[in-house]
Amino acid sequence: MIGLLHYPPEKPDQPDDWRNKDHHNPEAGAFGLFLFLASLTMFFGASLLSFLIVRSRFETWPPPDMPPLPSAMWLSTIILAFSSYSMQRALNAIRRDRTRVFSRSMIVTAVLALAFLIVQAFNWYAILEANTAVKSTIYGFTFFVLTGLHALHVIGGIVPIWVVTRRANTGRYSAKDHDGVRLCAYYWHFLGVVWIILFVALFLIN
Amino acid sequence: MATTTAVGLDTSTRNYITESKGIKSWLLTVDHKRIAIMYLISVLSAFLIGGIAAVLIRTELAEPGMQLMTSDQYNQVFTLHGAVMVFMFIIPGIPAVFGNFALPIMIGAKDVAFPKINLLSWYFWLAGTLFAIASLLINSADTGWTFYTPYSTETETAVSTILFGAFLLGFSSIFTGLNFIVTIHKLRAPGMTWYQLPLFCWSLYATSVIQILATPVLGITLLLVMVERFMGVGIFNPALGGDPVLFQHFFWFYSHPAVYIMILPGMGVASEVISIFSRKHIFGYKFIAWSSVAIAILGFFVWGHHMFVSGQSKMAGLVFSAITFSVAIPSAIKVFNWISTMYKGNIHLEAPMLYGLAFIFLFTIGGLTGLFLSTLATDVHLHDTYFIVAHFHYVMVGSMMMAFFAAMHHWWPKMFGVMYNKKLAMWAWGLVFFGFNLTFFPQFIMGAKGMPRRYADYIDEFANYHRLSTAGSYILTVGIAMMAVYFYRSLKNGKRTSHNPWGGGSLEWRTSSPPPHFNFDEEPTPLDPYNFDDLVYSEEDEGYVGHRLAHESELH
Repeated sequence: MIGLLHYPPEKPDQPDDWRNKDHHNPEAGAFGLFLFLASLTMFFGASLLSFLIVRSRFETWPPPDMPPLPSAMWLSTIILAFSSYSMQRALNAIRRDRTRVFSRSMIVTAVLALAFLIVQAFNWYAILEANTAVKSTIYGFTFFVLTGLHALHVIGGIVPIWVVTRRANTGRYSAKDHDGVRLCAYYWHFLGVVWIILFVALFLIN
Repeated sequence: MATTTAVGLDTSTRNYITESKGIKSWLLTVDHKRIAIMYLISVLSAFLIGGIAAVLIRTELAEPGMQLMTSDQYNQVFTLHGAVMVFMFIIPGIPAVFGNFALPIMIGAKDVAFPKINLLSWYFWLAGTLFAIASLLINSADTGWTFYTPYSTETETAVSTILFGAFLLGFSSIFTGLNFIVTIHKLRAPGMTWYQLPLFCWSLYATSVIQILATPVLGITLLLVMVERFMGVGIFNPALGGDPVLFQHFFWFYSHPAVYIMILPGMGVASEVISIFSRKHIFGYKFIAWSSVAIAILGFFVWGHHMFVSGQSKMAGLVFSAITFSVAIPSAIKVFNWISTMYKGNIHLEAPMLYGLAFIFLFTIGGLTGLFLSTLATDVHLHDTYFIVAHFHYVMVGSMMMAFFAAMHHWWPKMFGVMYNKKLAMWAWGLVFFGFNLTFFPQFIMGAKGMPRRYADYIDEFANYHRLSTAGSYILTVGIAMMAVYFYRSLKNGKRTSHNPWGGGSLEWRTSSPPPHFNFDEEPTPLDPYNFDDLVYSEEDEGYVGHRLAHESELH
């Protein structure tokens, strides 16, 4: 048998055995997230494009006898901006091993994320309240679909924020090892950018 | 190592199959090889469902008039056939099964970058398929696999269920693609350069780019159709003020690149098989590698060629037509390189090679007839006729399915450590190849004569073409059934194989068959995957062993 790999192994696994080597590549996580965000960019990009095409058929926007979007959307925008800020503050803190600032900033981020969703819920309610027919019109439909898809991704982001916040108190992260925090921050900033674009397209351009 | 008398699946030595036992150890596995086997079983089940639908369609069309079903049922059956085959078999087929199995071993890694996400993608596949089958049980959709609006937002059949199924299958596809790209970037064996990657990996890389960037667009499109159905808002339905052509743009923005999700992995399989069974270094490695990437990129800019008669502007038609022609260039580069690889090669007509040759032959026919269709004027004549049906079956079945079978015959001994009955494999190949051509070649002719697609009934003029086509589909079915029998039997009484029965040069042929849990026992060292000169055939092992250099150094 020439140059063959024997199996089953004759000897028990040695410490330097290839099979015991760490398979993990520290850069894999960030790269994977980057690709996932590229995919999400296409998702939100296509949603936004369909909205702009549909919208371009109307002469005025909002269409006549439709209520304007609630001005509390400014509030949700500000809340989300602050949550991005505190997320970044948490990341910067753990990079310098300042664990107390880190865990406090994570709690602030988590609270602001929840606050964002609550304000959004009020916004949806306000639109439904103002005009009950709104949900069966293009105007209401695009509003609910776009902000709804965003809210779903925010809910998806609260899960890792919650995990990181909980772990922050156990001293799981350090300046050397905080990949989870970094990836969580990237995702959260991404949702912030998506929100700003949606906000401009839905609310500001008239 | 197996002795020559032992037969069937090896259950006594340690490998990825025997590593742990019980159904739970499979359903919760994160081993890419086991996930590949689960995908193999699942996509073949989908293939069976889609295949039964295909035979029903051909039987209905065997004679003019109605044979088996009502015309409404006919619509449901061809929708089922198309949707199941496209979303559950053709798209995941090669990447999720053979990509999952071979890619990490080929690059000398223990597993993919995110094994748990890999398992999750299989569960998404399963959930999506269950939703699609639920639609079948409730009231099977009758829109065709393209779900064109406004019909798909108005029909009473269970369109939403199957749309949601396709939506979930999209996640499965995205996760697989994401995993492959990160794996190829980050987990190559130390010292392995990009140009030492087997070409199969390059093709999977190009496929994955499309999966990640195009699939989400389909996701939002299907979602909008579903919401439009529930809420009665006019995004796509003109009766409500919507725009049906918008749907077509969005749908084809995904579904045309998806055609390359289907074909690129097949091209990767062909590159492996043609080189190995010609015992000759692949010709024009870099051209084949980069033409995969070129096809993936160009594929994003040609979707409008599905819409030449949709009323889009003439200018748009001209631009899409011109870009479509440009896809022919990288495709032709590949065919040229495969043929140049075979030139003066030492060709072994084993089953994988036969399927590889069938792939090239049928892909050439499918590709060249694509040029007829990308020409604006002829497309107006041929649009929605059997010419289209024949064209895309030559690509999606003639090419992708042949490549799938090539991969299956090629890696079967690696996956299970057993060899199938080679003689039966030749016969089955003959039946499949002949049956396929008999099914679909007459469709080119009747299509050119004006037989429209998706009709349950037709005038007598087309009867003979349909008879030939139906006869062909039965022969094809017999061939595939034969294949199922000898693959199944090989697990019971197939001869055990050596680690390298075909003489492949890439890393998966340098580990045992079936591979161990962590793929290798020693750290693999990357070499040129297409260097066959150093491999020597050993009568004793009935396979290729060692590299000649290693051989000599051991002798001295």
